[in-house]
Amino acid sequence: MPEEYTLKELMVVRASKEIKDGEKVFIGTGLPMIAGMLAKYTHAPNCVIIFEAGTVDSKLLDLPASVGDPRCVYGASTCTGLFDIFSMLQDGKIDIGFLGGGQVDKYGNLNSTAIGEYRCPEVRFPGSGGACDMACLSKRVVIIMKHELRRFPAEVDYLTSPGWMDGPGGREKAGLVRGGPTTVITDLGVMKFDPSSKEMYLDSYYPGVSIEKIRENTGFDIDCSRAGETEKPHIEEIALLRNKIAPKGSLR
Amino acid sequence: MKEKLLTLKEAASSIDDHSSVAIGGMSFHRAPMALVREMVKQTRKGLTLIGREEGLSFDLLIGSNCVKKALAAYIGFENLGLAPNFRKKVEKGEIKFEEHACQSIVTGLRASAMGLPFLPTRGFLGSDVMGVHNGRDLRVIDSPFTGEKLVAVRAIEPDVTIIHAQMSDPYGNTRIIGQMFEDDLMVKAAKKVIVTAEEIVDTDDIRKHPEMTAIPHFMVDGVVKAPKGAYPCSCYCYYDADMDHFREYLDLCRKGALDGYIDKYVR
Repeated sequence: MPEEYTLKELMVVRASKEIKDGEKVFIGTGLPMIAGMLAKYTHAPNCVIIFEAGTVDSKLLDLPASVGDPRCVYGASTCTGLFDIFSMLQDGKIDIGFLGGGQVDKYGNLNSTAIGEYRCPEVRFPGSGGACDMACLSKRVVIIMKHELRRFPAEVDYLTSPGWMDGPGGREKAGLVRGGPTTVITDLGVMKFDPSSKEMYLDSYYPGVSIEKIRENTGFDIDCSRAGETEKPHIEEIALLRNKIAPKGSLR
Repeated sequence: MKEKLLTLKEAASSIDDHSSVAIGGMSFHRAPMALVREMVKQTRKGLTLIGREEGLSFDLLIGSNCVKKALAAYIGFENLGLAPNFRKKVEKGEIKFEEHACQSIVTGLRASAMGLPFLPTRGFLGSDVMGVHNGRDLRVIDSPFTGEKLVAVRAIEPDVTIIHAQMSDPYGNTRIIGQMFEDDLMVKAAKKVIVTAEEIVDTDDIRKHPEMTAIPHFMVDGVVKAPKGAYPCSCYCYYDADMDHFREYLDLCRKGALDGYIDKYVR
């Protein structure tokens, strides 16, 4: 018998729930793309998937390798370029964006630029891409990360994409007009941000993962008092992922 | 009207050492790779590269010591991993890198295309992408009308822009199909433009549908017939990206064997 679900499938299913029907979704390569497709095939058939390279509301038949993939053009509502898509983002037309990164701190500030001293870094990552723009300008942001101590420091080495900055009022002080991270989905569980303190707290842990393990892999104090077990994926969702959306085994 | 047809060799040698070059396409898609390979072959030196979300085109030129400075929002191979030569050269401090995000590249090119010294955006506030610029290319300003805090992005004006398109006529009327990325802005912002194209078509044919022409001929200085000119990147309606080729490049570079790649695919 095949596994009931894999860790990546659990993450994708959980990420897809963040998308509400009818929302305009700004999506990047990888797991978010699969989550977006799953949302469209299940609870959010009217969500509009937007890729920064220029396509809006594609009818994806096959999983694209990147946001600029020719596959993104098939059946799209419109096919334009960066300028139009980033104008939509700046104008507040994008409801939700998905981001990843090398580091995230307790306020959801993200680093996808460099580890160590910026001028001569220990590790040089690819850079912002559209992440900074999305973090500043979409109505909300969902972060997908690997849950490791080095990736969850008290403070990020470089702040590529603003989260809640230094806490309540931080974004307003910086001059940002909207947005902020709402959820962090990792390979251990799901974190959210306290509405008043803006600090990350544990919302749910995956079946088989202990709260202790999450604490050990988090570089700051994290409130776990509100956490319960994450809901397992439904068999229909797994069947869709395995047979229709990602049949080539990219979620194994 | 004058025909502007060039060979790849002529096109690459028309790009001066130490000039700034904007490269069209993105990561795995419609980058002018045949021309980039020819630039590597001709060992261009001291280039400043301008791009947004870049992969093989930038990494190959950087690894081949053609580049002194790069300006981009992202240099990497998406799901395949980090860009090995870019990473190595930045970590060792061997090239200068100007940190951007997509919005600042697009806005800076747009400003230049509109003949303006800068354009405002709402992004970047609170990000270290602002900080490392120290006011050089990004600066906080107040809206003269509403008083809102905005970020002014300095115009980006490449000496040369190179793009790959599906179709051009011999004069440079150019049709781009599928995603535009920011190729149109790169062209309109630049002092000089070279277009490589899958097909060179008759001017009367391309002028039957001028609404599909992204770039008018007078903005183009050189046109190169380059079938499969984006390979291993994809070219919409012509061919898909060859992901195995990108994997081979990364494998060789990680083993320190960029020369092996160059011997096989460039020389």
